[in-house]
Amino acid sequence: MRLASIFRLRLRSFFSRNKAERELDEELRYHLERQIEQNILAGMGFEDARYAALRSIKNIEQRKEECRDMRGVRWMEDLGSDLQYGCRQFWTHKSFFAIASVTLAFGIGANTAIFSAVNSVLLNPFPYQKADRLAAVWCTEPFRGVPKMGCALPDLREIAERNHSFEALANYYSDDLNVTDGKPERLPGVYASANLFPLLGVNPALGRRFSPSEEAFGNNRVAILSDALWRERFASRPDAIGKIVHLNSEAYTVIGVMPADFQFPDRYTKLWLPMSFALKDNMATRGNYFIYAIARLRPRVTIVESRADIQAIARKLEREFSENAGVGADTSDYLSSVVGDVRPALLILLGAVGIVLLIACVNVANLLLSRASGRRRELSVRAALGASRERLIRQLLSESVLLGGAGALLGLALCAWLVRVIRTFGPEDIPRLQSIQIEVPVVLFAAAITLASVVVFGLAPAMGLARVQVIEALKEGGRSLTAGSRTNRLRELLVVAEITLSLVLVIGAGLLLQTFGRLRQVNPGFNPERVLTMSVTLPQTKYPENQPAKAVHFFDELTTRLEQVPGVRYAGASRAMPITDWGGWGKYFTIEEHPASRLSDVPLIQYRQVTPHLAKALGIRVVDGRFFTADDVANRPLVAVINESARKRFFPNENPLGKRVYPNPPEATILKMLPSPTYRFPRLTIIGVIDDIKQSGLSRPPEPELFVSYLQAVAKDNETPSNKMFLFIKTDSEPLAFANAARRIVQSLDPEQPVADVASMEQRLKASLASQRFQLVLFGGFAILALALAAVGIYGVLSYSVRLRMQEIGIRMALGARGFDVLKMVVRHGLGLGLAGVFIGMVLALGVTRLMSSLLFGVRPDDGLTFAGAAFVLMVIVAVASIVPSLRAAQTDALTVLRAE
Amino acid sequence: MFLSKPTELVQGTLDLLILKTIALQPMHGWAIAQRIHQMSEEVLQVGQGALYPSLHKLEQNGWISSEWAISENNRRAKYYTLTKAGRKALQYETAQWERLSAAISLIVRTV
Repeated sequence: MRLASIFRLRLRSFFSRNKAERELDEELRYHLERQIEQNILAGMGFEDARYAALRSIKNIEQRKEECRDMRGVRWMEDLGSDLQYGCRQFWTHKSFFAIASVTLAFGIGANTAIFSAVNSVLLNPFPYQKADRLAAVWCTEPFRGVPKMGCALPDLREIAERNHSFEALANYYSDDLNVTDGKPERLPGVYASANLFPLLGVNPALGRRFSPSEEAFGNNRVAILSDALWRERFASRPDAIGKIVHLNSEAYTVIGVMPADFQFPDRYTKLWLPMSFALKDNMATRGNYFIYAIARLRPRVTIVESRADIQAIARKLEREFSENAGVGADTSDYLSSVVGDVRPALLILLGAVGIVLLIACVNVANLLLSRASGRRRELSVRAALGASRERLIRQLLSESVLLGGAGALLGLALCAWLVRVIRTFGPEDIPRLQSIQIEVPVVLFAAAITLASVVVFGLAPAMGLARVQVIEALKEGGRSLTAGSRTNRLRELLVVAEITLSLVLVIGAGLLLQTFGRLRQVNPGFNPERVLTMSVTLPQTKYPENQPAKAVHFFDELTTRLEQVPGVRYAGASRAMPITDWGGWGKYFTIEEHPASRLSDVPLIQYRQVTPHLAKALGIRVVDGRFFTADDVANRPLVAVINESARKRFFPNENPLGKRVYPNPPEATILKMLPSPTYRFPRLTIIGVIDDIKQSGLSRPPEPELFVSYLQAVAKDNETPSNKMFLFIKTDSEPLAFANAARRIVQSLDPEQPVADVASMEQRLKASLASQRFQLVLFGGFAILALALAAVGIYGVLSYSVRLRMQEIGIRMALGARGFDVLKMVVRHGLGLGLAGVFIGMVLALGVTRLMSSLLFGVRPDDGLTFAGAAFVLMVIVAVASIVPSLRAAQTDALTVLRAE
Repeated sequence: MFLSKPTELVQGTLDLLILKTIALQPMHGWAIAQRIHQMSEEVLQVGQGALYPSLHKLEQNGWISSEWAISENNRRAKYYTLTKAGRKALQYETAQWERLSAAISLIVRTV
């Protein structure tokens, strides 16, 4: 059986997987046998015969490949066999692939979730026709530091008439209405011009739109409901059209219902009503800035052009009307006006989570590299037997693709869970976040980043393969120092990259942590403990402007009765809610002693109508003088209180107490608008100075405020009392427990009057930090994930390098090194990698954290403490991750190692 | 002329030779190579690298069919037979070859 011994090439049957392969083998072997026989018969010696026959075959594998080539469906078979091979590898190395897939899943899942948020907030189109041609229009008072405010109706009319940029312009403003049918409820509503819905290109799902005639006062008692309101109050019945609903105690006819997915301007609005003002209504005059506009751009007109257009119109209006001094206009595309504020934060989060994915890919690449170097022998043999380089690389890549696919599927599952979490716990003040869901663009994104990741980490082992030198690998026995350590160099480089990126994330998280900490330490200017708050909006129809006593009496009675409830210490009311910027009312401010000479020089101040016990209810410190008392009523001298900011701005070098001021421009600057040439605004005497309250938010500086006594609002010529007030009820125990009692008292004064916005002051404070908390939680989560991945990466690289150096370690120990020395050697190696990563990371972070400065408060982007702390944390992680492999190295038995060689 | 790859002759010519060879009787690969060598008066020597790929292609096209049988030296070998489609293909390919070679001869022979 000498012939049989020839066929040591039986090794190739290792690769014959199916019948066709085996048959081809057999066929070729038969041919070979006959050739050898023929050679022998022709007179060659046995060895020569065999050698000649083999030579004539040249490369068997290649020939077989060509046969397979000829079969034409080769690529499909190859793909199938590659995938099969990949699946078998998965199964035999379960733990490896599990770790790798899970690592990838974290990266892909987190990225896809954040992208879902970006998609729903920044990318999703609005439910309006051609929403990218819509522009928001508003007014500004740049010299008084007001970048965005409503416009006055006459100004908007001028803009509508004179502009060249807009096809159409619609006006709107938000206001709340009390629904009094059944249970009284306060609903957010919008008053809009009749052309709003045509401009948006959306029609009611039921009924009809407003007709222009309904803008006329008297014809305007019609309403269009939102789908949600229709479900709630009319049980989705089609005969809701034509029914009457009582709003602010007036009867309105329902004429339409909007489609379910429609929202304008936000998801809270439940009602749309025609914007309509009575002829003598002074809200429709110049000087009252509260109306916003949305416009549709003419084709091919850009936002920049439209901005220049309306700014020019505003300047003309300034010249034509003295009241418009200092008033400008501005516009932007509608999307930016809604989400522009949160865009930077979201993009920063996307960047951070992208870094996490990068780190995950690097880890997986390292894992694959270490596997690849372990398989070098196997791969070299296969290459020797004729497997082409492309084929081997393709097989490695197909493993990577399978890994990527597994990671992507797990990642999508993780993403689905994260999306649910974001929808439930996401901060309210990120607009459009609630509609976050997994949609086609999100899945496409996941596929794209999976593909990119596969390329990144799949290439590494394939590249490692490029360095395979066939003969060397076969000779090596797999454990020498040279070729193995070349791939290890690559792995060490990758680990240093991981440490660098992790440091950047940890620094970012640290900065956000400090921001959050500083914000929480900010003194709000009042005591939020045990304060119940709610809002009460009295309808104009029942409490009209020309009978201010009704509203004043209502709130006076209300606060008195509330204080009689056992457990309530003080009850006060104010038009504005601290921390939230709600209820702001900017008015001109004049000091009688030195009035401004021109209208454009008259400063603004925030005007606050409050009841006497407000300061006590909120625990606001009185710095100088006194606060209001129950004696500051209409027939007594008019008084006012200012805050510290107002004192610093307007009375820097003098005592404000006793000074006379008024919340209007000096009479001389607006002579044309006065009711009579000798008209004088009522003067207020300053009687007290109180501490600043953080009115617009914990991170915003306080503005100058002028407080007046609500009870004096009925005084002649004084500003009319606000119909919407917030109540602040200081209690002895848990404030929310008093909510029902408060509601009952309100309804005992007016059974049709609902309350709204019930919350404790502490809840409001917490809610105001919701965005920062959200960012911190996400960023912190990413940083922790990155640290864990980096730790795993370091552990992997060090373990492998220990294995590589087993021989060296054995020799050292034989020569007298103690276990501790070996441990030191390994840990030093690890720390060296760590230091390199930290150093590069700090340099990188210095550049990157600058991008985050819009998110920070009270801490600089290059804060030394944070950088040092992050570096420390990372070095500790590196040290800990180095300990385990170094312990193993230290415990090697020199003899066993050397003998096993 | 030693053919180590299928494309060393004009594409399809080797196919023609194989089809013609087994038109007479079913044969296995080795025998086909021997017969071609013989019938070409030892000019053409078909190596494994040319023969088997062509055989597999022809089988894929449905022009020949194969079956395993015991050969003359008592070993298993794969025998190839011409199919009906193969016979028609042989006729067609023969006609094509004759036209082609006649045309080439015309050009090459012209002075």
